[in-house]
Amino acid sequence: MLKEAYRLVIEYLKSNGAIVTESANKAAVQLSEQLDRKFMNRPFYWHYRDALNQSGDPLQIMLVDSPDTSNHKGFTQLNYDHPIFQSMLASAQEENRFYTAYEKAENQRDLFPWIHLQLTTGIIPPGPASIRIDSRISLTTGLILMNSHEKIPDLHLFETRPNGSVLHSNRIPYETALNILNTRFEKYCEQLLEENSEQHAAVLQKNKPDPSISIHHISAGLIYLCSP
Amino acid sequence: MTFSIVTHEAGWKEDFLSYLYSNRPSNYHLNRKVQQLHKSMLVNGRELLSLKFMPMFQPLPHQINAAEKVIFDMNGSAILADEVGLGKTAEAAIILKELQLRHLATSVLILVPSSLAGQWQSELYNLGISSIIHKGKKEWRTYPVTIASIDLLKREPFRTIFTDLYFDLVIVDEAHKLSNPKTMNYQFVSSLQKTYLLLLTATPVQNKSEELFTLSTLVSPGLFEDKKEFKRMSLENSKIFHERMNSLMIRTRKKDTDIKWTKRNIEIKWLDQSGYERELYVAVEKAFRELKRVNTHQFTHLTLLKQGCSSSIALLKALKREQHKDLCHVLGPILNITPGQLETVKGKEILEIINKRKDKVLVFTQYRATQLYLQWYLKQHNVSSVMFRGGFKKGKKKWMTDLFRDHADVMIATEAGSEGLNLQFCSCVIHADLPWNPMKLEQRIGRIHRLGQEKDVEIIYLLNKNTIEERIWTLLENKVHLFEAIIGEHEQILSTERIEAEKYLEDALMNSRSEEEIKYKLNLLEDYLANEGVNHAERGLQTGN
Repeated sequence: MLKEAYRLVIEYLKSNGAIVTESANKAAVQLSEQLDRKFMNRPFYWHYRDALNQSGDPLQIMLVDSPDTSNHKGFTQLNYDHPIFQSMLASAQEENRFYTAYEKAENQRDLFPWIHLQLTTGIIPPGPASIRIDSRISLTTGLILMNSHEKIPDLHLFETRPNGSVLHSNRIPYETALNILNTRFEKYCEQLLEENSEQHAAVLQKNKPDPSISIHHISAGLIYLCSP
Repeated sequence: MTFSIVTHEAGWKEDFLSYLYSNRPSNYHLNRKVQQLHKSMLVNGRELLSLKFMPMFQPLPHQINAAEKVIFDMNGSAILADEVGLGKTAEAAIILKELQLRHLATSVLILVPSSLAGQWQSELYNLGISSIIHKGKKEWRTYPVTIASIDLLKREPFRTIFTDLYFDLVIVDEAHKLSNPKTMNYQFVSSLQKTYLLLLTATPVQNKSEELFTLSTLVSPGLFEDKKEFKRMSLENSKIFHERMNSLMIRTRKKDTDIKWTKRNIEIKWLDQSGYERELYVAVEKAFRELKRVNTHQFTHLTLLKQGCSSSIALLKALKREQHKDLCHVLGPILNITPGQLETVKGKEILEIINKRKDKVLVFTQYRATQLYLQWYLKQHNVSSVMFRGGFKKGKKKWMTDLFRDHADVMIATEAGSEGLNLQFCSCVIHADLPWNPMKLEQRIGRIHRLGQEKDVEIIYLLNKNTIEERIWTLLENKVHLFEAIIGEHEQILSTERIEAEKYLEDALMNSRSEEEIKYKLNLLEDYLANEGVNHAERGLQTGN
């Protein structure tokens, strides 16, 4: 898990203009001015530079993916626990939770819009395993696929629109589609709680509050697939 | 059963719609990485997510068990009552992190004695949890985790400010201070709006078992109907009572853990008082007999003699009080002294031990005067020492601890304010005098004999021959099983009899008019423990079984 967080932060910094030099378990990062201003908590420095109309020197940081006691001169060392690393991680997630992607097929030029929604559900009070739900709704036909009931086909999506492709516009408005998906999702949540009824019975016996479903780690996208 | 759905990313729909209509560029590659991270954060049933997120921290099995129990079985609220030195702070930190990661705790308040705020902050930081300490001024920072002194917040204007706020998790350290429902401490914590509550204390019962009932009303109100029911059930010692206690409190004892504790080597040094020290002691004893003859005896002689065993200066300082005017009159010219006469045999012995050991030494005394004297005396012999006492502000306490760790070889401390002090880097403790309360001895030793101690611990008792200390020690030594029943088994915190026995012991030693009376009272106490206390222990009135 920490590896995933480490990779995400490095990719995020790269995509925001940082120069990253990676080695086995650490990465030296020359921050861009924008990243320095955002994360490094140096408002007085940047205010002073701005007032003098001078460009500043963004800091260099050393990201380490495992506990490391070695001293990197001239670098601010950040490991997973560091508050700056945590704020970078939070921003990386926050800024990249929505996306647009496209399916590629050799003989298919028409692409139809879908809304793709992924989220994690957990039960409060804690105990049962958390579940990652993958669902999507066609904005052309209203067809809903949700992996809670059946395995839905994996998607192979790309960031760039295929050359020569024709994007169809949506027939169902985005708001309506999201509401339909939401209703279906709530039904699923009820089922989920019923499936865990034994545990909840025990919970209720102990005078604990009514169980509820928590939703987090939401990721949503507008995707264009070959099928309507 | 009513269900509800709680979204921790409120407003995501609006944000997404805004994204859809704005045609903002996106980074699908990064989104894939985000999703990989989210998939890696899925948990199986009863799995602690926090353990994955604290790479620098290697928790002990009993700490993991405690955290699992609180999160999955106790609905996030509990009394953590592990014995001194087993890492209650770390347990609380795991629970805090777990609730944070599960999006169940976004605002956390940690109430601690002011001297421990810095220590809490640094321990949490080491575990990857950032926090701020509320200093009492107008606090403009908002932070997920706030550490504050309960003594500060329980008073206006902070009381109103904090009771108006809502906290997902409240942690109270040294929670035995909440055991009286009439106190401001209890009422403040009770009035806080909170979802989860953790009470940390090694001694949830100080004097009466009902104190545990009071704590239970904070953690799990309604667990017992009222105090009467609690008392009745505790006397019946039924299975239901045990179940309820287990749903309320986690108590791990040192012997229950797999940790290899280093040894305690105990040495008792009998010393002969000499010179002025002896003269003064004998004169005070004699003066008391004289006053007793003329019937103005005030029964405080045991305390004065005890101070005389600690140091001459402690005794002289006590004699200066108004109540001892008559006694000073009888003592006369012996009270006029020169600094050279103040040297005590215990001071010399402490100096010798320090010179021999060439390692860090922690000296405990009950009296401020002895503390100052010892520091002065050691300084005369080129031994630098740091002092530690309750009156220090928290910054100074931390500074003193740092000085002791990094520079000085000796710390001279009083018990007051030493709660929660971590001095594992030191392995020798000298008791320059004895407190009446045997629990305090354990508290003193617990400062160094705790998690992280790598060496065997040397415990040295300095006792004066032919003094009150000898009489008390001999009486206790002759009744060794009585002593063990109180000190050795002190972990049986629910054993009201033992706590009360401790009170009787103190009463017997402090308030008896003669040695015969002390013996008589101790015999009664011994019989009582043999008949009641042991039976009680056999019934196993303890939690965690």
